[in-house]
Order: sequence, then C-alpha cells, then structure tokens
Amino acid sequence: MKGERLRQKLLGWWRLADQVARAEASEKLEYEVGEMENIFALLTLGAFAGLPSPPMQLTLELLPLMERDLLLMLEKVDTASDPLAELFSTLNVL
Amino acid sequence: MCSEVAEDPRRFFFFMGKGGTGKSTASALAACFLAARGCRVLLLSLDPAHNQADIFERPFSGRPQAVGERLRAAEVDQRYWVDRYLRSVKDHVRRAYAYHAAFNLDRWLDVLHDSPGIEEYGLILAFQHYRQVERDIDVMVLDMPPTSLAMKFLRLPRLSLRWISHLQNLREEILRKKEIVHRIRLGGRELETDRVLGRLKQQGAFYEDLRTLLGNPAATRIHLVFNPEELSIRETVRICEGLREIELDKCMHPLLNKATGKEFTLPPDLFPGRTVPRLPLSDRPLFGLRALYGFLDEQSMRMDFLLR
Amino acid sequence: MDALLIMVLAFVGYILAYRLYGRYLGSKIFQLAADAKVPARELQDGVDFVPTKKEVIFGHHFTSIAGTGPIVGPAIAVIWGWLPALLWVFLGSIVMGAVHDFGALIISMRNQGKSVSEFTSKYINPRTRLIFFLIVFLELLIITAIFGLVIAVIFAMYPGSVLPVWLEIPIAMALGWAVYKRGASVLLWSIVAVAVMYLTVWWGANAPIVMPEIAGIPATGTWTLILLAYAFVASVLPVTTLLQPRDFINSHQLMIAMGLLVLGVFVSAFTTDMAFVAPAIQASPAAAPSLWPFLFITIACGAISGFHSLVSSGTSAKQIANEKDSLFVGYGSMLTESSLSTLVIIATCAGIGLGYTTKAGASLAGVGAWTAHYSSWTAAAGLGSKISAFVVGAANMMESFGMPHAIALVIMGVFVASFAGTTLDTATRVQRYVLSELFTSLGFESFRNKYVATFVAVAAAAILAFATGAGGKGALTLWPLFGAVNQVLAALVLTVITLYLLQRGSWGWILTAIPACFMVVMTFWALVINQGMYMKQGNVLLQIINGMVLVIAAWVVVEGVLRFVAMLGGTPTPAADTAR
Repeated sequence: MKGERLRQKLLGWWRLADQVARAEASEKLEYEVGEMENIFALLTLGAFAGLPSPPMQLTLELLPLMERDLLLMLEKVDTASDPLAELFSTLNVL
Repeated sequence: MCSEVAEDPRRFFFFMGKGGTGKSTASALAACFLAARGCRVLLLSLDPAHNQADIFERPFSGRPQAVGERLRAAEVDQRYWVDRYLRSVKDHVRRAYAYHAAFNLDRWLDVLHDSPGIEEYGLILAFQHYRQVERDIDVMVLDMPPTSLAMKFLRLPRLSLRWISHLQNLREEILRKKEIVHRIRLGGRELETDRVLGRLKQQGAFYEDLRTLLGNPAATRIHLVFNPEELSIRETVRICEGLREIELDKCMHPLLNKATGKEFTLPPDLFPGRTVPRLPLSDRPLFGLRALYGFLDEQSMRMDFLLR
Repeated sequence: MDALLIMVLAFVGYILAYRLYGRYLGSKIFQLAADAKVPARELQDGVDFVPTKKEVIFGHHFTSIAGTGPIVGPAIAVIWGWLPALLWVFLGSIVMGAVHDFGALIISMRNQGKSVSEFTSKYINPRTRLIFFLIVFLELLIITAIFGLVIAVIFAMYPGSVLPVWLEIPIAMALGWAVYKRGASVLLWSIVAVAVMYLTVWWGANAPIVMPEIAGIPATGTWTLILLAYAFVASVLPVTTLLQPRDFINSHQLMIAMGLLVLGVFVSAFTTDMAFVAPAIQASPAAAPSLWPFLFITIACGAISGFHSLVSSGTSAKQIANEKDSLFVGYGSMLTESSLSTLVIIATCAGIGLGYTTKAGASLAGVGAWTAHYSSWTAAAGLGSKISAFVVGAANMMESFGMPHAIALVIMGVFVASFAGTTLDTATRVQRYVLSELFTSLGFESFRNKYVATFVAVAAAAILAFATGAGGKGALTLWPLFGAVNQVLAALVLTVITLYLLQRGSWGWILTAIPACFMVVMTFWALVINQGMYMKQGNVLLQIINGMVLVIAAWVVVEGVLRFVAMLGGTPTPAADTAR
C-alpha cells in the first residue's frame, strides 16, 4: 500500500516536472507567436485604427473571423506602451 | 468569331476613356454592331453617369432588358452593391462576435460606405455577379466609369493579391509555430483548421481568377477611347503606362473617336506597330436605336476591328 | 561539519521564514484571498493571461531570476568574512528581497497584471517612467560589459571551459532543430543535450584552449571582444534557433549544479575535514572598499535585487491562478535563489579550504587557500580570483563524492559561463529595444534599424569594458556599479510597496519602509564614495555613469518622500484601485 502511494507521489512529481519542462521549452516561442498574431491583426484590422491596411474588402472579409484577434490587439496596446517587464521575464535576462 | 469554343467562350470588351471622348457612345455602337453580326450581347454600364439611358432613350436598371435583337442592356448601381456587401459583413460579424463587440462594430461599419476602396470593390462585385449569371451571351460590353475609378477597378485584383500573399505567408508562419508549441505543450494534439487562412485562400482564388481573366488578351479587350487633340492623347499615354504597370497592356486596344476629316497623324511612338481604328465624328446626335444603327450602316467597315 | 550545519540551518531557516513570515505577510499584511479575482482569470485570453499551476510559474520565475548574479556577488563579498555575507544573504532575503519580489508580484496582480513601471507611475507619479528606462538602460549596459568580462575571465583561468561553452551553441541549435523543426520529444532530447554537454566538459578538460596575447590586448580583452561580437550575432537570430533551447539547457544545468553543491556539502562534511577557513568578519581588507556600505551593494541578487520586480510584474503576475499562489512564486523563488547564494558562500569559504593549487604550482590548503584569493580586493586578477574561489571550492566539495577534480572545475566554470552567455544575448536584445525607444524619441531615426541599435548596444558595452581595463580588475570595478543601480531600483519598488500598503490603511507599511530606507542609505553612501574614487582615478566614463545613478537615486528619494508625505497627509492616489 505504502509503496503504491509513494509510486503515485513520484509519478505526480514526474508529471509536474514534465509540465514545467514543457512550459520552459515553449515560453519564448509562445510569446513570439502571440506577437506575430498581433502583427497579423494590426495588418488586417488596422484600418479601424487608422493604419495603412489592405484594400478595405480584405479587412471586411476577415473581420467576422477575427474576434479573438481584435480583442487581443486591443489588449496588446497596453503591453506595447510598456513592454520592459514582459521582456525581462520572457527572455530571462538575469 | 462568336462561335469559337473555349472553356469560357465569352469575351469582355471594356471601354474606358476621359470624360467627353465619347466612350459611352462608342460602347453602345460596339454593342449594336456585334449584335447585328450575330453575337448575343450584354451592354453593362458601370459608369455612375448612366449615359446609356440617354443614348438609348430609355431608363435602365440592374436587371438586363432587351434593347434590340440579341442585345440587352443594364446599368449597375454601385451603391446598391456596396450596401449589399456591407450588410452581409454586418450580419456575419453579428453572428460571429460576442454581443458587445458586435454592438460597437456596427457603428464603425456604417462609416465604411465612403471609405476609399469600397467603390471599386462594389464594381468588382457587380462585374463578378453578371459574369456568373449571364452565361448565355457571347460578348459583354462594359461602359467603364471615369478613368481614375476604372483604373482602380483594374488594379484592385493585383493589389489585393499582393496583400493576400503577404498575409497568407504570415498566417502560415504563425500556424507552423503554433503547431510546434502545441506539440511541445500537449504532445501533438491536432490544431483546428484556421478559418482565417481558409478565407484568405478563398479570396486569393477569387482575385487570381479575376486577374487571369483581365490579363487574357483572348478574352478581354480594354478599349482606350481618345480624341484627336493634345490633352486627350496625353491622358491616353498615362493610361497606357498605368495598364503596362499592371500588365494589362496586351489587352489594350486604342480607338480614336470623333475623328474629324482633317489629316491627323498620331505620334508614331504612341501605339507602335498598330493601326488605330478611327471612328468619325457624327454629323448628327446619336440618340436612339435608329440613329445608332444608321451610323453603323455608314461606318460598318470601321467597326470591323471588333471582330478580329 | 560546521559547513553542513550552516547549510542545514540556513535551509531550515528559509523554510521557517516562508511558513511564518511569508504566510504572515501574505494573509495579514497583503490579505491574499483564495477567492479574490486575479487577472489570469478575469482577463483570460489564452495568450498572456493564462491561469497556470504555481509550480510551472515557479519554475519559470526562478530560472528567470537565478543566474550568474547570485553566484558572483557572494563570491566577491566573502572578502569581508563569511558571517556578514551569510547574514546579509539570509536576513536580507527574508525581510527585504523576498518581500520586495512578493510585493511587486501582488501589486502587479492587483493592477490587471500591469508592469512595475506602470504601477510605479500610478502610485508615485508618471515622471518615474523615465527613471525606469534610464535604470534599465544603465543596468543593461553594465551587465553586458561585466558578464562579457566574467566569461572572458573564466576562459582565461580555466582554458578547459572554452570548448564546452562554445560547443553549447551548436548543441543548443541542434536541440532547437530537433524539437522545434522535427517535433522530437522535449524531455528526452533535452536530457540528451545535457548529457552531450557534460561529455564536452570531459573533452574540454582534456583539450584546453589558451588565448594568446594579441597586439598588446590581454587574453581577457580579446575574449571580451569575441563574446560581444557573439552577443551581436546571437541577439539578431530567431528565438528558436539558439536562445530558447539554450535557455532550456541552462535551466537543467542550474538544477544539476544546485544538486551537486548540496550533495557536495553533505558528503564533504563526513568524508573530509572541511571547515570555514575564511575569517568570520574582516571589515577592512586591503585595498577593498569597506564592509559598510559595500556589502549591501556587492550582494544584490541573493539578498535583494530590484530587477526581480520586472520579472514579478512580467508574465508571472498574469499567470497566477489563485492569489495565495503568489507566496510560493514570489516569496519562495527569492528564498530559493538565496539558498543558492548560501551554497556559494559555503563553497568560497569552506570548500576552498580543502585545497588549491596556484598557477605557480604551490599547493595550498586551509586559510592559505582562502587568502590566495581574498588577501586583497584585486588579489590575483581581481574578479577572476573570486570566481575561482567558487569554482575550486565547489569542485573540491564535489571531489568528495568521487567526481574528478578537473571535470568538476570545468562543470562549474561552464555553469557560470553558460548563464552569463545567455544574459549577453538577452540583455543585448532588450537594450536594442531600450536604445531605439530612447534615441528615436530624441530624433535619431537611424536607431529604428535593429542592426544599428544592436551595434550601439554592444559597442557601448565594449567601451565600458575596456575603459576599466578589460580584465578581472575591471569587472571588479564595475560590479559595485551594477549593484548600485540594482539597489536603487529595489529602493524605488520598496517605496511603491510601502505607499501601496499605506494607502490600504495597513500598518504593515513599516515593514517595507524600513528596508526601503536601508537600501536608499546604503546605495547613496556607496555611490558617493565611488564618485570620489572615480574622480581621484580620473576615470571620466565611470564618473559620468556613477553620477547619473546618483542623480537617479536622489530623484527616487525625492519623489518617494514627496508622495509619502502627501499620502500621510491624506491625498489619495489618482487612479482607481478597485477597492483592494
């Protein structure tokens, strides 16, 4: 019985370590993907913010499919005005 | 000519030129001529000035009406097409978005009526509609709007394709990286298909098809109507350059309209190696079918260029 | 035996401090509540705001803050004796450093995950944003110069580490290719990569590479230039090519190194006669700055470090799923970093005593081995001797459980150099952004070009490195400057936390105000002393930089005091903080 409990605990530790490892391995890439999606949103939906944009109908064609990107773009405006903390923690500067 | 068989045997004759060069009349004459020669013709006016109603002395609408034997005509209301399109976008947005987002976007979308880019898109939608629907014709003669809008119309497929290709590349790169992240994080679960990429590809196909059609000299002719005077010629030169930039120069066919009896030599470098057909200035106003056909009877040989 | 005792006492002390003081701060002072709204849930977007398990956040947070800092700082500071260093690391982290990290994390979390410079401008005033930019700019400049020198010094002292450190690049790139391009299993291949790295360690130990003196530039100078060129190239590569896999390998190295150190202390206690050979206190060693105030500037990371607040208010705050998790992440990871510093102190003060062979071949042990490194500030190549004390001390302890000395030396040298190497890459990347922000707003359009900005970042660091002699002595001169900038930021953040607590009506503000005042006093003291010293030496560049930090420190104090007085007098902060 005790051996089984121990085994479960070890398995739990292993799984946790695995999760941490996976998160570590992908965090910078995930951050990069997030920024690329932001750029994509800015390019396609930038017309609403006065940015140079594709011919209007391209924006309109994609608009119904990009709710999430639009909301993300609005959020990222915050980060864009002050990205130091994000950069320091994502890039592991210290 | 009209019984040539190809995948799509229809031909598209565009008539464009500076205001006052007589392009609307020229396109009307061309339509009558071709109909008389046995082609089933649709004369489509994309010009908001709606001169065809004046020329044929009857009102036209978006639904093609018979004007003569094998000849039908319609006038496109660009605003109608833009409205229709924006309404469908609003619908999609409302269905796809959470309520609060849709609520705000609604008001934004109203302002788009007058945004740059919307007018020419309206015309493209109209053109594609008639192209789709009017299969039982041999030639579509298009009376184009004033030069600047006409050029925007012709440029739009290329411009859109440039953006689409760039956006598509970016989107595919994003998806590639997301797939990697997914694989690492979740051990390779399937990513759902990206609808945005799907829509981009669909748009790409749409514009590619349009660009191919417009750039195919066997199917498309862009008649540049000009008059024998300096300003008109200069403008024509500019249009030629514009068409060359978007690689439509192979489809370009100049037409000197309202040629007077005076000897008039074109600058030799304007249309090198081509004989430019000339239509004389009519001595009476050309209004109504009878006047049009009368003029054609006199000048039929000059219109033969349409059959080559 | 006493080393083991100290280690165990310290670790027990950390655990007790966590459970007692940490929990107290969390529940009574900051009033963390399990049912409170957190930005990870409220603003959840699947991208930045993602509720995450506290262990995962801890792993990321800890590897973000741990690096070369908590090693080099204590390695230098034990010159004042092992006791002051240990006390500062132990007590400093418990009542100042961990509180600072913890508080910054909580405030960020309660302000929609906004970064520290944003909530600083909210609690003090918007002018403080510029302070942040300048501090980050100066710190990155100094870090790039110092860490370049650190690696150069390690290469010069341990030629066996040259090969493994450079080989880490292709190994990391291969790992990146396998995992990111070909989709191989992360855990498996990272273990393989680490194993290969340790193989290269064995290879390197047998194939040392010595840099000759070229055109009058000492070996360390040449290495520094090469390393800064590497920083340039690495920082313009895509993140998955080198940086991400390399960082990943480093985090494994960190775990392994800490494990080896603990094991080393443990086994040495029983199989050798390891004892503390360093003096307990040595307040005024030859040619060294005095203990007061420089101890508190020399050990920043490991006791309290202002830059941790950037990490706390970066991604960590946006991922906390439950307010109570912030104790583990914020307070806990600082204490863990402290324990690493504790191990460093043991290695440099006890482990070194187990034996040291000088370049000349003399074999020293006991106090003699220690004094060879710490007889004076600039003894035996300055910084090099201090780092060597750590590397040799650690290797000695590892020898006790059977690891061959030469291999252990290289493992530790490579460990320090790898972390410093990644910092070179990332610091250059962030500096590139900071420079282009600072200079394009001043009208220098060419800074928009990423290569121009990167080049300037790297060149400026090179100039700073060479201005101080491009060697171990130079790095030693720069280190207190690095510490001072770091502590100014820490003082600023502690002030913000104080204001936050004051505004909430909690008397706990005193608990952060005292550390804030302490840091301000120590930093100022040190900066003034240094300014005098640079003036005497006639080093203009250092005078300018030190002067800038002095001005910034004064600015921080003035702004903080003004706001504090205003708040005591009853003026509330401008923006609405939703009832928390």
